[in-house]
Amino acid sequence: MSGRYVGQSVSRNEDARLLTGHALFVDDVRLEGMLHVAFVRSDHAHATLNSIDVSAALERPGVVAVYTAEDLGDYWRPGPLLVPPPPIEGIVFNQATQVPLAKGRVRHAGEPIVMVVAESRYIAEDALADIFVDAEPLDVVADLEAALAEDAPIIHPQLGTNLAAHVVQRHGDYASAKEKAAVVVSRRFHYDRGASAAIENRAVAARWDAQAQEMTIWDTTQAPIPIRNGLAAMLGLMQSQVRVVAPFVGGGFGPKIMMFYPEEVLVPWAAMKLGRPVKWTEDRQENFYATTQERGQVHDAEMALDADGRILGVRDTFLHDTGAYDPYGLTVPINSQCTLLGPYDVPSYEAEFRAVFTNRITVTPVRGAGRQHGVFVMERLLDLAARELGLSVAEIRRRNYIVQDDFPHDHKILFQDFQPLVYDSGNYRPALETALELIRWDGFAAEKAAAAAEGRRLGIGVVSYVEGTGIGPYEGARVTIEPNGRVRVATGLGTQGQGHYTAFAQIVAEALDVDVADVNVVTGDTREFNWGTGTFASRGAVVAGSACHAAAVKVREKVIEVSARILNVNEGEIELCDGTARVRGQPELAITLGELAMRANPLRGGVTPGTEPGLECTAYFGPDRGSTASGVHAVVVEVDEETAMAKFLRYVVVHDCGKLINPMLVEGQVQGGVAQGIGNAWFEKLVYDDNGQLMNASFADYLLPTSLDVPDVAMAHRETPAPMNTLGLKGVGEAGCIPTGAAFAQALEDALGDYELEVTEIPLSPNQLFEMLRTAPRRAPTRNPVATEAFA
Amino acid sequence: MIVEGDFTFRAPRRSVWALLQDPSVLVKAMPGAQKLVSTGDGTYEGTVRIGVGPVTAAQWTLFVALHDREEPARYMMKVDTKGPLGFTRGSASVELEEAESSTTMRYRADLQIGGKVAGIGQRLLDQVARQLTRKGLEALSREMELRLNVGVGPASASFAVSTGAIVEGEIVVVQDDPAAETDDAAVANPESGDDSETVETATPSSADTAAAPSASAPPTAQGDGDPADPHPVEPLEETASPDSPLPPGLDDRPAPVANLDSELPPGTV
Repeated sequence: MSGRYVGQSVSRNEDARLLTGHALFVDDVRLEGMLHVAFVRSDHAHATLNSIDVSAALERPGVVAVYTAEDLGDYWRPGPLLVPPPPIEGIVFNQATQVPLAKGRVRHAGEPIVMVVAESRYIAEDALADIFVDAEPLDVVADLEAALAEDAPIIHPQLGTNLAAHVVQRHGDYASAKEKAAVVVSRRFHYDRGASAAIENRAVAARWDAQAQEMTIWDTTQAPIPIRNGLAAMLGLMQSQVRVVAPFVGGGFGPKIMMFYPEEVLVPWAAMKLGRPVKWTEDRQENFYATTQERGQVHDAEMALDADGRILGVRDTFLHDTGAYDPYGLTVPINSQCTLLGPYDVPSYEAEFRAVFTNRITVTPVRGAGRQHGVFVMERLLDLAARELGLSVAEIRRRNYIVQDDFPHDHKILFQDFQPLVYDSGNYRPALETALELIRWDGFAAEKAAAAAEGRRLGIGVVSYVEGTGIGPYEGARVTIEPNGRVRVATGLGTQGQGHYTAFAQIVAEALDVDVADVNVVTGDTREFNWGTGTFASRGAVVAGSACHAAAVKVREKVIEVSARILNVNEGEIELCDGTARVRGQPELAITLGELAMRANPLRGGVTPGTEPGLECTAYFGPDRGSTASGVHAVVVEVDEETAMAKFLRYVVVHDCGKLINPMLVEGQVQGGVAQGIGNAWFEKLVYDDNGQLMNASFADYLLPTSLDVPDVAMAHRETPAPMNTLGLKGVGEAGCIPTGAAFAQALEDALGDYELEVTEIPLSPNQLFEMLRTAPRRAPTRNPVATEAFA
Repeated sequence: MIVEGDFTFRAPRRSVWALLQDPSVLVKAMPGAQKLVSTGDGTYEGTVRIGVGPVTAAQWTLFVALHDREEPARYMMKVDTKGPLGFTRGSASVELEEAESSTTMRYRADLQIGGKVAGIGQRLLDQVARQLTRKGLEALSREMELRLNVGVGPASASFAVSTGAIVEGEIVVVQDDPAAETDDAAVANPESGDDSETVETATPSSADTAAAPSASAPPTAQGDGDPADPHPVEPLEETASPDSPLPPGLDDRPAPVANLDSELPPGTV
């Protein structure tokens, strides 16, 4: 459905509040008698804790309490496994989840050891210096391969190994595919990620009202309902006694869907114990150690192709760094494994990975959630094969796309939602052609030559990918028309800037024919809506949006039924228009939705048995699997050979996310995603030394791209509607950042085509590129991949 | 992180050896040192106050243990510091080579640095480590020359060292300008260790009220520090108030410099 609202770039409902300081963020919560928290965090990446002396801290005026693991008593326990391992045959999975405070041993730098509660954050931080932790360093596990060696120090002795998981998935028969191949390309690839660097750090505030026996928790979480359920259980309360509010949140990007962080678990407990409200706000430096991140994988990958460049099979074996714990299961590496297949027809696939524990901060999904790694491997293998076969990078992709009539396309392996990886719909070739046009592919050889005459080196890259989005299990929504004629929508997930207050309002406004501004959306408050799973994996608009639509449609039916009764006509004659229900052809016979809502809720008299009062409905949407979004990215870069600096000159994204609710919001998601993708490709890398020490735990050294580094993305949209939801929606949250590394690598190689260098590692830095340029031999002049373009 | 280099002292090797093990000398030399005491044969404990760049100065506890000592030529040491900003752990080797009228010290330290200071100060660590080392060695050198120039004979020399009966101002030296020391402190936080020699060390006592027993030697220098004069300074005994922060009589102002070139000897970092 597209019409008055859905499909339009409607201005956001929430912006006025955000821009005038009327939006509540967790740190804004100030309650009488509130106490503040600071944590002693481990300096060592791996150490035994011999003793902790907090006596001096307790003496400090203003310090109210100091807790170690021992003080937590029965409350101390490892966190829950959030994502169980998928039911893959032969899977090995070793669970080790984070603890509220380290007991006996610390396993990554920054792990919390002591919690100090004081009258102010200043006092709490000063008290940290009063605490003496006697830590005896242990050998550090810092390298993925060394972690699995015989003599490696074991991070979780109860497991007896640093292997967190071993997973093999396959379809077809790669060995025979390889035998028949005309070309086999194989390489080792390194793909590293970084921190999500949301503008708002994490924060938790809690108040236990002993008189009402109610706990209120404000939390910057992407999953308020699961947090409510888990904390209620841990604290021995009923779910209905606990209210979790995720108010306005300044960016999530994944680490805020990690649940039951130590601080999240301890702040409410302290509030109950001390009988005073307690708040903890993370500062930026703490964020580098206390909040999860994504990190690297090492892939040994191989592709077998026939003489025409058609893929016969792919084999990929990789190591995945899960950090000190694995509470989020295997979501990230499974995404890598599955997303590697891309929009291509791959007859045989053999994919194996080992997830490994290391003494570094825990890895959980960060925007893209492992898809980047798989896409990089596939796109690079195709580029290498193209070079060997003398095909252009565009042509080799064309020849391998899944064709239009081959949907649904079943890859016969399991995805992160435990369902078979089946692409529901897609149309890949036209997206490629549009992208080539937008990036000015045809004229590029000339552009490149002209620039070369000026001493400038340009390079072009084009890559494709798919993205599984909109996965289950479900979300719900309740739509209510209030007596003032305005509509209230409540849903269970949270919002971190995606524009849900607008997108969901558009969907409901369309169904009820009211003004978008008259639809008031509330998200992230467990008191308002009781059921849901959270905002992650590019599913918010798809799943919650679909639930909003379903609820709105049910309300619409009620409106028609009640107004038909009141206006004394057949239901078929009622139409909804501009906030009223009226008789078609007789507009004077009308009743406003507000009046209708009042009439539907009588204070006296009898009703037809079975009638529900008011104009309110709740609906849920739960797909049996996700829908497959896809896209093509194209980029032109300029490289300075002498300084090894690279600039992104133009960037194109052609994206298919099914029907668009609000094109402006989609464009925002893509632009922001590209910015994070550019950061991942060239700027951002978390650097750890061999002792597990994070060496760039501040923005002085962890570089984020600025507006000067990120070009305006030229976008085009394509729509292959998702069949499994009425609105035909697919997700778009992560689209911008998934293939950016691969596009950059290809473009760099094109710009530096006269060197024999290969980009097999992301992120790259000017330092690394400089070294590569210094040591790479010059290549014998050969046909430039762009120039060998043979357009069909 | 590796910190290595060499430094030349204008003193005979035996003296250098002895004074390198004297906590009362070391505490004056180490930038930011507040306290250093000997806790056993070749082991020391103390506190220093140091910051790095944006990381404000804080107090660190310091543990040093010497081992594999081959007097007077070389020794190894294990170093451990701990504080709210993090920790360092490592080992260092020191070699002393006698030359005609001087001793060249070659050192190499391999340090592991962890915690906040590693995460935030990383880019500065190299520079700051070298700076602190250089300042420390320079101060050590000055201190050595000061002590070795005082006293008429072995007994009074060692006595002077052990009770610190050095009266400032009565030695014929060129007063160094403290401001000149901090010329390259631009990168390291100006509030950090550079100034701490003056600010953070133990309470000053007026030089005039030096609690020097009557046996204080005439303070006039024997010429300009005659390094060829081999004062057979005994390795320091702990009997001289091992627990006091600073021997009485020493004040906290930077010690006067005796004949030190403004140009650093080659090889010094």
